[in-house]
Amino acid sequence: MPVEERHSYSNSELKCLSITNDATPKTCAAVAGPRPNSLWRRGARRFILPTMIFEEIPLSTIDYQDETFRISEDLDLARMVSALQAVGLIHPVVLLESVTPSNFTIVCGFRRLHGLRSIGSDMTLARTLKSTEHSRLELFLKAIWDNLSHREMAPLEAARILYKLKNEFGLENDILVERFLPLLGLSPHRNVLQGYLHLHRLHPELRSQLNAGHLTLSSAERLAQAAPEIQAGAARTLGKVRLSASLQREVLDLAEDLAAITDTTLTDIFNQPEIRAVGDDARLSAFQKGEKTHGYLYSLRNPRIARARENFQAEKAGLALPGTVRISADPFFETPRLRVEFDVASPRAFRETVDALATACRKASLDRLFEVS
Amino acid sequence: MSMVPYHPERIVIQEEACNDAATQEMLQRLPGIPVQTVRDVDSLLPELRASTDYRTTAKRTLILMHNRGSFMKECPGAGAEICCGYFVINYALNCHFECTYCVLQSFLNNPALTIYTNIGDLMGEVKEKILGSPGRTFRVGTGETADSLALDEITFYSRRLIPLFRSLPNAVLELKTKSAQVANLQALDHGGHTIISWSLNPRRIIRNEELKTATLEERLDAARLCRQWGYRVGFHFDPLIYYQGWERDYEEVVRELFRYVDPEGICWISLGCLRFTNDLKEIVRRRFPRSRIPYGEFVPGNHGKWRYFRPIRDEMYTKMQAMIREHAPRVLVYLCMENRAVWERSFGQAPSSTDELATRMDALVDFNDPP
Repeated sequence: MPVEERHSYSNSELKCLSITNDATPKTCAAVAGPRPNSLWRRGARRFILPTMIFEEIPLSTIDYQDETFRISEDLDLARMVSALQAVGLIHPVVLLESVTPSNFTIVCGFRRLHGLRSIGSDMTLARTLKSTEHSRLELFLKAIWDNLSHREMAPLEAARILYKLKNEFGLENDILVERFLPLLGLSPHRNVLQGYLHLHRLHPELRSQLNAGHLTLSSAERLAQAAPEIQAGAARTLGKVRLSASLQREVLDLAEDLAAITDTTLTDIFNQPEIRAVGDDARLSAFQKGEKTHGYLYSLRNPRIARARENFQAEKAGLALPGTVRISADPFFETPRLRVEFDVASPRAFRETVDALATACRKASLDRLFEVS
Repeated sequence: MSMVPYHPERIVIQEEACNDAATQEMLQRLPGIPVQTVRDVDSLLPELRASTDYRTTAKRTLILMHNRGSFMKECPGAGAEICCGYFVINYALNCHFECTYCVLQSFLNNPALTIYTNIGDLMGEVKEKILGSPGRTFRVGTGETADSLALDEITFYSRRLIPLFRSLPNAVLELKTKSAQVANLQALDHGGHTIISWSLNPRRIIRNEELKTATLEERLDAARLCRQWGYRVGFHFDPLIYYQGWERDYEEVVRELFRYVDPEGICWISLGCLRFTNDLKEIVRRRFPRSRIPYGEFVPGNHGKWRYFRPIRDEMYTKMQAMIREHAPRVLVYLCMENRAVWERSFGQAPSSTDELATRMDALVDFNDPP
């Protein structure tokens, strides 16, 4: 798709981007103004409306490869198919008649048209527009408003809109920040824009994980900045595990640190046999795999802390105390202080616990417990 | 590479600072640089922060302005379990030395390099606070929000502060630096009331992490000069940076140090392991992708700062102290911003309190020529 020259849009076109705080579109005469043939009659009154031509269009004449105006992320919605099967097409799609006659580009209705094709329809009702009468930006704005009129944009769709406005329609960052980020329900800041522009480059597998709610938006934005092969490597690992939002951030932090420390890439880190083995271990749930992956990366990144924790657990076990006695160290062993707690429900349990503690006092593990780090 | 001196590309003067003597003197020392006057320095902030690498580019702007707040404060380390009871004077904000780990990167609101020109107010406040507590000894430094001497060839403030402290019977000034700019210190009558200190690190760290600072040799040469001029000197191994082979490199620095400076001339040596904040880690990764600083084994500590896992700190302090003791058994070595457990594990003992450490340090201040 050729990129239109920057600043090629007239003021009147950009005025039609004017957006109020509540994201309500304002009428823009320059775009939707009256045309000579737009006289409709309704009873005794006449309404002057923009030209609207509705036609039955064969699906075979539509160019599905041309995604210039596409906004929707997922084109294969089962729900859309069900709706079409149940009640048929309610809202006509919008098509652009190409220079070549009888060949149409989709402006609005990608999901509807994909749905119609999948259920075997031949024809669609469409409002058709002529390419000579509309600029490409104007048409894309129609597509944006068409989508915004009835649903929230998913992050990847907002990313697609912003990416196209910048890279295919040549709009400046300032306009995107000031006008389009609020329109899309996003904070008008440059770094928000940068994050979404990166997001558009997210690997397909990671896109699926984001859509499924398995990958957080901040993780997705972060990974989207990496090269495609690195994203693919991360997608393979993350696809096998489930991580809470905070653990996800930690896993990425650890993997990035390790890549920097070892002068390798995230792919190399995630491709380590130990990580792959965790991902392939059928005995573990996805969440258990996530915790194990995190634990392994943490011990690689922080070997001395991990060793201290292991030693502490080993020495604690060496005391052979009953489970009712809990011993914990200072966080990160900053001081040698230990906290010892126990619960008892009877004098007998109390005596047994005290006896167990007295026995533990004579074990070398007790001294080592204070020196593990 | 030798120290890179500071050369601003433009000077912005706050209107009320225009007629200050310090402003006029600095303008004379910086000829040919475009000068702009503004009423409100904050109005420059959007412009200064416009670049994606604004922490680098904004320093090319030198702002001369008044400080309307307090100049002299207790050192923020005062919140540590055992602290030396230090005071700091903020005569400037920011530093052009580009140390990768520098906390100023995440700390300063205004990313330009700012020098306060109401030096008379500064001196008045310092004098009032110090003379107002005659029973107390003040150890005061200027190296918290700027290097003490990096800008001295522009400000010449050392020539005002050293005589000021010479006149204060209960105070000593410590000028902490990574520079070798000591020319202004020659022939000043300091009366033992000024100590010149250097932050030291191995050549490898200076080369890779302290990008525009003086080399180790330049720093030690400058220290030797200061000794010749009768100043006592101090050294700060802060930040100590842990990496494979650190012992060999730091041992070399310690050996070099005592080749240049006699232990008798050293007032104190401090040790402090690297500390940084979450924000700083991200900034370092972005600004200095080749830096190894963010990749140590860190744990969260006091004041929201990260520091090395305690056994790493224990190990570094224990070994550093042994290295220093080999050359200078009697010099006071102390830890900066550390807790009691670390003192005890590293040195075998800890000061009973902040007061005890402060008293020991105060006793080391040798006013050889009382005013």
